[in-house]
Amino acid sequence: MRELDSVAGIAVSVEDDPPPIVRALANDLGAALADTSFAEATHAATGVVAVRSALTPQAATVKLGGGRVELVHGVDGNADVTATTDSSEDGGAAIEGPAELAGWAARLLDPPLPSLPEAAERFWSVLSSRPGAPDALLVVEPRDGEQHRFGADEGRTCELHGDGDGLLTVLTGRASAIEAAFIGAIRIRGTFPDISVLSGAGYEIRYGNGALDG
Amino acid sequence: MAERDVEKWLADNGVSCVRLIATNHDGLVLGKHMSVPTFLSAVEKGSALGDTAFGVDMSGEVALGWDWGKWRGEVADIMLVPDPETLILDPNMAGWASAICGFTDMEGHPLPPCCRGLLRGMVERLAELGYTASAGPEVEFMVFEESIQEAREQGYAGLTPLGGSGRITYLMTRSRDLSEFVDAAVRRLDGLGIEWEYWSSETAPGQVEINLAPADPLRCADNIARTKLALREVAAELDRSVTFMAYGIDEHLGGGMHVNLSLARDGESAFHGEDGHTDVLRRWVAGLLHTMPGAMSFLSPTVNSYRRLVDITGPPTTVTWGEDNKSVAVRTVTREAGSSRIEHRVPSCDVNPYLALAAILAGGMVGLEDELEPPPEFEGMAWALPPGTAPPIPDSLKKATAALAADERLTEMLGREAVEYWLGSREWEWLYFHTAGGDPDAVGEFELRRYFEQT
Repeated sequence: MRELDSVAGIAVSVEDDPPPIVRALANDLGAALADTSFAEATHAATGVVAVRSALTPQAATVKLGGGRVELVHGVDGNADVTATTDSSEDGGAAIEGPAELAGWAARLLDPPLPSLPEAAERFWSVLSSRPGAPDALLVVEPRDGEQHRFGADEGRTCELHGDGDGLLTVLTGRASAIEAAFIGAIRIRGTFPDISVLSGAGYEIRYGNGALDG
Repeated sequence: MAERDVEKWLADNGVSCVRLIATNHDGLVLGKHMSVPTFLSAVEKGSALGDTAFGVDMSGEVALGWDWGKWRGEVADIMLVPDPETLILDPNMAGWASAICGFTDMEGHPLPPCCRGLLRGMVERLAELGYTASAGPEVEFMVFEESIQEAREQGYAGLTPLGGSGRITYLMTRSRDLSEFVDAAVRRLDGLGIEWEYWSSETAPGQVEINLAPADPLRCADNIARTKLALREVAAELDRSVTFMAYGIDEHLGGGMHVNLSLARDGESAFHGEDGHTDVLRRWVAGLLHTMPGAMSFLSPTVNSYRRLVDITGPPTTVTWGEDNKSVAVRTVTREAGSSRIEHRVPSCDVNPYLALAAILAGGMVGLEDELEPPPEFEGMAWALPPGTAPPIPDSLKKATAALAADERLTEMLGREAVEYWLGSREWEWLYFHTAGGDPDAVGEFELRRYFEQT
């Protein structure tokens, strides 16, 4: 197990060499603990939460107790709460178990998303540090005309167009640019190689974690 | 064969179709069937194909996440370039020939992820140091009673190993159906001009090892690519199925592709000395061990590859070496000058042979150029060791990818563009496996469908 820096007084440990689902949960947990009420709920929580994907064998276990959280892949069947992700059309989780712990799991799995400008800025900060990144990124929400431009004023610009939800899905790494474009959630003005690099930025945001790789 | 002689050779042998065979970074065998006039044009200036040759993974998914390089575009054209030296009559079909190809951009520059070009570069660099290498691979595979069509229908699960259920290496009393298959396979190799030394049954039921004769590394990799293709074709003809998956068919045993490699200078063995191991051998081994973590993703390229790294079952699990010790990663055999060699025991049977050999040559050359000294020879069994006894081999694709990213010297030796393309593709391999249906704890349908026919 690898001990991460404690957040809000919560000691978080993650298994060695975690698969993507554990990495994503670790990242979501770190973000969610910034909310004081969630941190307090985590301090008070005790029990085991199993998280399963409805579509793939991905599964993880979250063990809580005494101000500690432990994340490992797989489930052992003795969980107090079972959350099945991707089980509804909107991608939400079906959660079963005692109300208090189930409520905690619901908050972990559906953390408040950043605003579009915040998400776009973070996405650009990751994207711009990756080899092959375009010179600039333009994020356009056509319904209300909201636009956010990052990077150079001139040069190769990649544009992402879509409604707020579609854009946030990509900018927070919950879907790759190509997945979102394929289902029509966003439109892209750029090159195929741009899409690869944008996807890499999304993967880094969703699954990257220097503390887990160090 | 000189270009001007190709047309005459094709005519003299009544060839009407040439099969162009190339291996991409993932180890997928790609190519085209060409009429003679089209082939002659391809010999002169190449044949265009889409950059998707390097763009989709073993499941046919678009692989994403890294800088593809300036040579890729909106499914831009790249060139498939046959090597006339590899032109042979194809025993598969009367009137057919085949040639091995590399990949270049439209201006004829080698593409960074072209594995054959990368290996050629390593051979040339070794020659600049004054050495020539010879490599003999031990090609392991598993063969089943079911045809490939039946295997597909079954999701590649529940297959019946050909030759019975015995789990004894070298066993000569496996049922005749196994030797019928392998006899047909080695006859095909004879037809292809691929020299083989022996074949024998391996430990797992249905598992066979064919040892190919040593050859220069480029020819060796070509021979492996052709051998794997031939085995699949013979299996199809005999209503059998064959796989080069590293693990998952037998619940305890995996498959490797050990590489026996010797080095010569001015025609004399550089590994054999009157007083034991030569300085060249020691440095070569030191380089292999020093770069082994970084080289691991080339030697075990898929998530499945790492499942075979189980103590005591055969594959090495520690970064170790020793004379005539088959529990270490690099075994030296230096009893006689004529057979002095290292046996690299790490590669899994699902490797891209070009990349595996390139990584081995690169590691050895790091040792030579940097005049490295190896750790002491490992004494005893190098499996199941107490912690701290010997460095462990990276045991997952994620760890191996991180080790390569951190190995500046190996990256410099292999070429930064090639390594960065490979790293991106390995990150994708890891991510797609886990998020699209792979089970980290058990070989399941997704894994079998992804790897059974494609490795």
